[in-house]
Formats: sequence, structure tokens, C-alpha cells
Amino acid sequence: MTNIKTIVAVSKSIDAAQASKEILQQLHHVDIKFVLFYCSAVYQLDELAVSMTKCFKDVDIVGCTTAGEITNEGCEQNSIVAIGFSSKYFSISAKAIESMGEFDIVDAQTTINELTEQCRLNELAPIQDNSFLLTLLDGLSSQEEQFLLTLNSATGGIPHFGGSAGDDVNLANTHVFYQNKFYQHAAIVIMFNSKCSFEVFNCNHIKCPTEKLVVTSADVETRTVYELNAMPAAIEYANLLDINIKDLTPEVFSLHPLAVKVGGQYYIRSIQKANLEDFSLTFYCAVDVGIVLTAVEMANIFSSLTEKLEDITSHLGKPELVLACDCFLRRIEIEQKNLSEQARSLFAQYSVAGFNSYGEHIDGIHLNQTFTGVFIAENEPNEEEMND
Amino acid sequence: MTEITNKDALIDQIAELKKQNTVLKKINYALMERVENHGNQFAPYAAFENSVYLAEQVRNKTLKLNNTLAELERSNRALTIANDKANTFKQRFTDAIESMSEAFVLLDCDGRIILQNSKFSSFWEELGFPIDVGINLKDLKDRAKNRGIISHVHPGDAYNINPVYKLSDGRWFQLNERRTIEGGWVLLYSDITALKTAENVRYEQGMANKSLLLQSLIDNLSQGVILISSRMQVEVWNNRFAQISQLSPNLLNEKPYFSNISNLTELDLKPKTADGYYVQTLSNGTVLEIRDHHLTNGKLIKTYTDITKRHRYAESLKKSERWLRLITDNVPAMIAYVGADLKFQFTNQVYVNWYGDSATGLYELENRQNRTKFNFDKIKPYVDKALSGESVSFETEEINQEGNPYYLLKSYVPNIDSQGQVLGFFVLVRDITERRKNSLALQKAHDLLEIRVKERTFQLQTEIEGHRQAQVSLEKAIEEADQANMSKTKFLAAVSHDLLQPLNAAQLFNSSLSEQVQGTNLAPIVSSVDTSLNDLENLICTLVDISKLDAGVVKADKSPFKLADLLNNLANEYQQQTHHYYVSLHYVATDIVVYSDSVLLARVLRNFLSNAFRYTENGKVLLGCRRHSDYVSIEVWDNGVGIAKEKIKEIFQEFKRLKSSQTAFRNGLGLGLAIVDKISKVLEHPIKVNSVQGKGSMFSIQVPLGKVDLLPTLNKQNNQALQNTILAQRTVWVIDNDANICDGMTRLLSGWDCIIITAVSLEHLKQQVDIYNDHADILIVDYHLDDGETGLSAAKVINEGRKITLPTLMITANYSKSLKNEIENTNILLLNKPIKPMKLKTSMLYLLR
Repeated sequence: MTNIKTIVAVSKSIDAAQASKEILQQLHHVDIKFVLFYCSAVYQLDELAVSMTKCFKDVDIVGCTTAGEITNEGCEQNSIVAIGFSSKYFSISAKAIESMGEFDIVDAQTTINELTEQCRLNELAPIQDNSFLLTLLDGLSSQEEQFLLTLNSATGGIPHFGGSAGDDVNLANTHVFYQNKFYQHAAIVIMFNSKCSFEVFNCNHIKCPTEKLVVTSADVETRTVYELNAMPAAIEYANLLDINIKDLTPEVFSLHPLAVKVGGQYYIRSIQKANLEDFSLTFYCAVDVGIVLTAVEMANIFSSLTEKLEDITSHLGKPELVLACDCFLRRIEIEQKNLSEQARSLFAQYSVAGFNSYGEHIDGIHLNQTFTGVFIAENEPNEEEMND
Repeated sequence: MTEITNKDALIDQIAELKKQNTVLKKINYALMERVENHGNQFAPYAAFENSVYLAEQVRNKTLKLNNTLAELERSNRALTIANDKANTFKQRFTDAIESMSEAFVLLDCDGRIILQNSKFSSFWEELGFPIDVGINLKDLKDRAKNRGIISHVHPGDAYNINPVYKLSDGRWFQLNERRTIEGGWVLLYSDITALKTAENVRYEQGMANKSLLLQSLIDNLSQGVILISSRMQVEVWNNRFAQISQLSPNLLNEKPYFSNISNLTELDLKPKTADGYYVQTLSNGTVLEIRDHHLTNGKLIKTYTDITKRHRYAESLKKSERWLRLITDNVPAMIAYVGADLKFQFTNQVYVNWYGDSATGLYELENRQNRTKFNFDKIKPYVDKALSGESVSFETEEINQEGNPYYLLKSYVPNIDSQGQVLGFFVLVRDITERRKNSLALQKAHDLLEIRVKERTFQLQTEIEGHRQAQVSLEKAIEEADQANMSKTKFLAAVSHDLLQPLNAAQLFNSSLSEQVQGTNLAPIVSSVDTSLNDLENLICTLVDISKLDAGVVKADKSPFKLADLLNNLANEYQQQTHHYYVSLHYVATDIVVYSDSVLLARVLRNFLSNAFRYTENGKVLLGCRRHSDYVSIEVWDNGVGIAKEKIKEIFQEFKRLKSSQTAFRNGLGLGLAIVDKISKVLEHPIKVNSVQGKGSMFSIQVPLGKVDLLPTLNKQNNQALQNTILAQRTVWVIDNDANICDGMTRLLSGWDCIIITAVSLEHLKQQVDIYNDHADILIVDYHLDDGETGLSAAKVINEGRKITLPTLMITANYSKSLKNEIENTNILLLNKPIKPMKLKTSMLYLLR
């Protein structure tokens, strides 16, 4: 068999068993010991869990549902994309936290210690500097921030990124998969220890701020903002865009996001939906009374990402794989602006595989409307670099 | 209005401002709330904010903490493992010392007990010293010694022997000790009581066995033995002594004083002062040798050996020596025995008489001094030989005491002992003077005889040489004859081909001539020429055959085949000729399979039949077989002229022919039987002839039987082909203007089972069959037909009207090239006259193939 580092497999079959079989055929290689998959929420998840488990007997499988799948052939829906990792290059351990709400700092430390120990067993490379974390969270749990903050206290500087599971904008049925089961309200933390060079990165395409909106009334638990500038939130937002309140759809949200400025940086707080019964707005991330939401103007969706990828390529060389969590609102923007072909060629150029998420994570921060991921280089670092 | 307007406007403005104020207040409140509650990091948004702010700080701080924690965890695990290991080792150590059969104790450098096994502690407990860790072992031992528990200590040495303790209760302990690194001791006490007891028992048993053995040894001596103490008291004796002395064992057992028993036996019991021996003869004739052995401790051993037999033997030896001397002294030969030192050990009276008294000197050395004529050097080689172990005999001439020469035959026979050592040699000397005289006379007579024999041998050799030369010239003559014969054969082989060429041409010319002169008065002459040419051809062919046979070119190609196949054909063939010779042919069929070359065999049989026909007039010829155990004799009988007995050998020679009847073949050249003879040699089938002149002859050939299962199928096919199966039931149309030929054809072809229709002309054929539509397999036409018709035109007419051309055979005596050209483009096969049955058959088979 040929020497491989990673294999990306795609099945567009909607039948769970058939799709699993197709994935297995593409990933059939002795070195593949870990499989990460992203599946559409249209699958019969219980059937898929059984057939995937049956297909991959001696392989660890981890995954989540998506709001769209990303392969190097562009964006897909109603499909499965799976990435197999060679045990010769990757030592990977994963742990599921079944109840995100009860995750405390001790759990976080235990989790990180366990994952580290497990990764060490394969004696592939030192943990420090050769590892990164991937988190897959239930995208409708509303507990991402606390979870990530707690986890981040224990990561000890290990680069981290992740995404929240989606369900094709149904906002009802997000799941993560661990071992042989789909879970809700659960999180999966995966540690990748690798001989390959890599860089975890994140980028958005905010161009400049326009209007400021102060949240004057909100429900923290449900991430609902009732008032902006002491006016009903949905009306204020519609007025700002000069559109009818009834036209507040994800498409609008994707093109006209609101952001908060923290530490000199803008972070987009994506609106999930407009609630017409009380003119409130529900968000994909934490909000609070007194925070200032800034309406921002967006730049070209690809320019900052392209720049980022070029920059990394310039010092790491060609990518073997870019594992991505791309916000589903970005996908919506691409679709609205008919940029799918451009997206496909960019993703193909950099071997991007991943999914459209309901929220992105970078170093313990929960974000919206960004592209986060890890760039895994094709070339192995040479001896000198390893020793540095 | 403007005021009102202004007022309204102001009111509106106030309301607007109020509203704005409310909004701003609310915003203000929200912002203040936010600022004040900023610290509540458990609120989700604050968590987000914190994570942004603190991400880096927390990360750095926790990094160290986490590493430390992980390190701590690892060392904890390592400690646990190490503890487990230590516990396991301790447990194993305890198990090990407990499982030992020895008592174990570990002491510190001051001799205090650190560790002990239960064997050790229970040992001391049994003795009433309950011990515990910390007690000094030395104190313990001192106390035990004081109390008398340890009865004896065998201290060890520094090397191999370990200290051994004997306890008062009879137990034994051996101590093994070893220094520990910290200066203490490891002590092992092994209970060796059982070992010690066993050792004692073994020692006592050994001693008892030894004394038993000694007594039985003494008892089994053939000598009588008695041990007398320094106080002259009997101490030890054996059975033999009791026997010899006839003292009762009971008495001896009481260890009596010597003086008390010396009167009770005639045996001499008195001790002698010095070691030595003497002989005593008892009243019952027993002769004893008595020896005294004085021991250092004043004791005396006396031994009594019965030497009666030895004594008697010496007596009888003396007697026999006297006898021997009596005999040897009366033998008329000189007998002596000389030792290896060349001294005489024995001489008989005759020897002494001859040489004088020399019995003690070197062998004949003194003789030399006495008698000047004797030369020791002359006999020395023989003496040396005898002493090296070889028997020698030699004759020598000596001068006797009267001064007359005598011839002596001396034999020295070495005396060799069992080790192969030569101890001396026996000497036998005989006077052979008289015998020697006789032998000289005999030698003379012998010499004379030898000369005569030599003379006669020379004569004979001369004769043999003459014979040999004659043989050489004879062989040369034979060789020359052979060569001549060979060159004849070669010549014939070479010449026959060259002869045949012009002959064939002459035959062709002659046949065309015969057609030209047909009907003229030259015709008979041409016919005669033709006959002569045919004879010539036959002659040459026969000669060629003979030369081939002589040259060994012909080889038999033998295979098993059915004899019937051959004989049937021959019978058929010759049946046709019977009327020419006015004979009748009888043929007896057979089903025998023979192993031979069918072609060569046929040739022999044809010859037999031809000869039989030729030499029989108005008689009978019989062809038949006689079966023997492993061969069959094929015989041809006739009741013809027969052959004279003395001529029978001749007939097989070349060009020999008996005077034959008038009807003999013109071409009978007398070569037939010569060929038969040669073929029979090639085939290795013997030929036999029986004949009575005037009555008839029988020629036979003996052919070995073949095995039926080896009958080759190919051969079968060939035979079948010859057996007419292909021709059988074939329809043959024959057109020939000669009715006789038509008759002959009918007879011949019917014999092959053909359906034959003959016609003298095409018209005649048309009357019998529908030439275009009737079935036919083959058409045979003669080239010359009546009325200017030719076979060629007739064949054309028939074939033009038929769907499929009829295979056609044209018979002609016309050898012209024009005819050949004429039929060249047709499918007609040309057959030249005269037609021979076999040729006709093969041609027909060829057309039908």
C-alpha cells in the first residue's frame, strides 16, 4: 500500500448503510486508525451510527452533524465527508463530554491529561508544539462559551479550534458522534498529535464598523436580545437596514452581521432568527445587557482567507489538508453572491475538508461567521526543525 | 400660528427629547449595569469576553500548573508501582525463606536478630527460649550451652567445612553462614541428624561385612592356615587347617595353647625360629609344605600346603625321562637338543658315539677342536635360522672318526614356547651316504633322458612350423577368393544398372518395331527378339538380386502377419498358371501367424512353386503348412522328376540347373535356388529339401511363429487392401478387342470379388449397359481396338456423357511419346503391357483411392 497521511472520502448516497460502505471503501488502508466525519442531518442518525460502527471496527470514529459539508470539490449538502488519518503521522485521542453544562475546571484538566497520556502512547512526537485540539460541540446547547472557557483554562497553550454541529438551518437537531453513538448537548474534545507541521488559524471578513447598537434588554440564557438602543431589537435592526421586519432571514443576517469589539478586535455575533411575536432577536452566541453591537460592513468573503492561506503556505509549504469549520452564514453569503465556483476552486487549491458550523471556536473563544481551521503541511519538518 | 406651531413643535421636540432621554437613560443604565457587573464572569457573555481577554494570560499561567500536575501524577504512579514492587519482593522473600527446609536467621552487625523464619523461631521456642527480633544470637547460644542443650560443637574452618552442632537430644545441625553487605550475617541451620545416623549405620555395616569377607577368604584358601599368638595360643585358623590337622573345630575354637594340641596331631606345629619352609610326609601319604611367617607383633602364621600331587608328578617325570633315553639311544639316528646358548641339553647314545662325548660344550664347538675336519662356520647359517624359529634341513659332508667321508642329512627343528620365544632346537642327524650314492646314479640316467626329449621336441617344432606356414598360405588364398567374390558382387551391382538402361531401350524399340511389322513375315522374328530381350532382363534382374544379397544390402524387415494372407495370394497367382504346365495345384489353407519378412518369404515360396511347376509334368503340386512347436514349416510338394541325392547340394549353387523337362522356363537360369539359399540366410529361416529321383521333391522353409496380439493394424490394412476389400463389389467395365484377354480379366477380377462386365468394343459395351447412367467404378480399356477405334476415343465417349468422370485405366503396348502426350491432359492412367496382376491391382487401388 502506498504511504499516506490523510484520505478524504465523500459519499453522496443518502442511504446510511450504502454511504458507510462507500466511505469505508475510500478509507480502506491499514494505516488509517482514526476517522473524523461530518454528515448532513438528513441521515437516519441511528442507522448511520450502526453502519459506521460496523464498517470501522478497529478505528476510532468521531463526527458531528452539519449545516453543509466541505470537500475539496466545494460545498455539499446531504452528504458525508470523512477524513481518515494515518497512524504513522497522527496520534489522535478523543473524549466525549456528555453533559456540557456540568463541565468544570477539574473535568477540563482531567480531560486534557487523559488525552495527552493517550497521545503519548504512540510515541510519535513530543506533545508540546506538535499537538492541537479540535472541539465539536452541540451547536444548539447555548453553553459553548462557558464550556470553551473552562476547557481553555486547562489546554496549557495547545492550539485549539473547533466548530459547533449544525443541522441544515433547521435549528432543531444537532448531534455529535463519538465511538458508536450520536449525542445531544454533548461535546467532543479531540487531541491531534502529529509529525506534520501545522498551524491553527481563524479569519473573518469584517471591513469596517458603521452603526452602534446598545443592548438594553436581553435574556442571557436564551441568547435573546429584546431591545437595541431601548427599541424592540428586530425593529431597530430592520430600520438600520431599511428593510421590512418580515424579511429578516438568515440570508440577511449573513450579509449584515452585528459585531462586538473586545480588546480592539471586532467579533461577529450572528443572529439566529428574528422573533416576530416580540420583535426580539435570538443569537448564535452569548449576549448580555449593556454590550455594544456594531453593525459592520463586510469585505470580499475570500480575500482575507486567501491571504491567510497564502501566508501559511509561504512558511509551511503546500498543504496536505486544511481541516475547516466554516460558518454556515458564510456559505449562505457565498450562495447569495453566486460565488460557489470560486469557493470550490479555493477549497480545491488548498485541499480543504470540513463542515459548515453553527459557531466556530478558536483558542477557547466562541465565534460566529468566521472560518477557523488547521493547516496541515504536506512536507514533514526536517530533523533540525524537530530538534528546535 | 407659528407660535402655536413653534409651541407644538417645541412640545413635540420635548416629547421627542423625552423619548430620546428615556432611550438614552435606558442605554445609560444598560451600559452602567454592564460596567458594574463586568466582573461576573459566569454570565455567558462575560465568559466570552473573558475568554478573549484572558485567553493568553490563563493559557500561560495554567501551562506551568498543568505540567506540574501531570508530572506529579506521573511520579505518583511511578511511586505506586515502586511500592507495589517492593511489597511483592518482600512477600516473595518471606515466602522463599519460609519454604526452606533450613532454619533461617538474619543478624545485624552486632549479632542481633533482624529477620527469622518460623523454623528458626519454633526451634528455640521448643527449647524454651521464646525469641523475638532484637535478641542477640550469641547470648542465646551461650545460654543454650550453659543449659547443656548444645552438647558438642565441631567448629568449621575457613574453607569448606561448616560448623556442626550436636544437641543433647542427639540432633545434629550444620551451619551455613554468609556475610551481608551491612556487616551482619545470614545463618542457615540444616538438620543433618538423619544424615549422621545413616552414616553411622553404614560404617558399622561396612566393618561387619569386612570381617565376614576376611573369614570366608581364609576359609576358602587351599592352604591350611593358623595364627598363633605371641603367647603360643591359637587365635585364628581355617577349615583346611582343621582338615589337615584332624583337630576338631570345637577344640580349636577354645583357643588352646599350642603345647596342648601338638600331641593330638601328627602335624608338625612347632614354630621354627626363621622364616622358611620344609616338607613333611604324613602317614596317609600326604606331602605337606610347611611355612612359617613371623609377624612384627610377635605373632606367627603357619601355612600348610598339600604338595602331594606335585611330588608324584616329579617322580613320574624322572621315570619317563629314563624311558625316553632308552628309546632315543636305540634309534639309528643322532638325536640331540641344543639350548639357545648353543649348549647341548640332550644327546642320545648314537650322537655321542659319532661325535664323542660333547654333551656339555657349545654345539659341536668342541668337536671342532677334537676333529680338525669339522667346520662350525659351515653350519652356522643353519643354526642361526633354527634359532630364529625356522625348521631347516641340509646335507653336509663330514669325515668320520675313521677318516672316511660321509654324507649326513641334518634337521634342526626350533623349540618355540607359547610366547614365540625360541628356547633351543632339536637336532636330527641321519647318515645318508648310501642313499646319496644311489641318487647320483639316478641323476645320470635322468640327464640322458632329458637330452633325448629335447631332440624329439625340436623335430616336432619343425613339423608344426611347416603346418603353420601351410595354413598362412591357405588363409591368404581364402582371402583372395573372398575378394574376388566381393569384386564380382560389386561388379554385378554396378553393371546391372548400366545394362538395364540400354536393354529397356531395346525393348521399347522392339515393341514399336513389332507393331510396324505386324502381319508381315518379320513378325515372328521380332517376337523372338522380344522374348530374348525379356529373358535377358530377367537374367539381369536376378543377377542384381543375387549381388544385392551377397553385398548384404537386403535386410529382413520382420513383423508378425497372417500366413494365410500370403499363401492365398500365391495360390491364386499360381492357380492361373497351372494349365501352362499341365499340373494341378492343391493348397491347404491355414490360420497361423508367423514372424517374418512377407516380401522375402513370398519370394522364396514363389521359387519353390515355380520350380515345382517347372519340373512336374502332368502331376500334382501341393502347397501347405506343417505346424511345429515354435515354427511352421511351409512346404511345396510335387510328384515330378525329383533330384538325385548327390545333386541336392548342388542345386543351391549359382547357375546350377538340373536337366529339366521340355516345358521348363526358358528363362530358367539356375539362379532361383541360389537366391532362395541366400534369402533364407538373411531371414534366418532354414530350408529343407527331400527328394527321390523319379518320384518327386519337397522343398520347405521353417518360419518362426508370430504372436497374434502383436499383429500390427497397419499391416492388417495393407493385407486387407491386398485382400480385395477395396476392390470387392466394385463394378469394372473392360473393353478389349481380344476375347482371350477379356476372359483372363474376368477370371482375374472375379478373383478379387469385382463385378465385371467385358466388351470387345464400345458398341458391344453399349449393348450390355447404359454407358452414361449405369453405375461403374472403373473403366479398363485396351488402346488398340478393332476398326480403327482406340481405347482413348472410347473412354472419351463414355466420360463425356457421364456426370462424374469414370476412373479409367488404359492398357497398351504402345510406348510412344505421342501417346503419352495425348493422355497427358486426361485423368487416364496408362498401364504398359504385359500386365501383371499385382501391378493391375495397385493401379486400380490407386484410381479408387
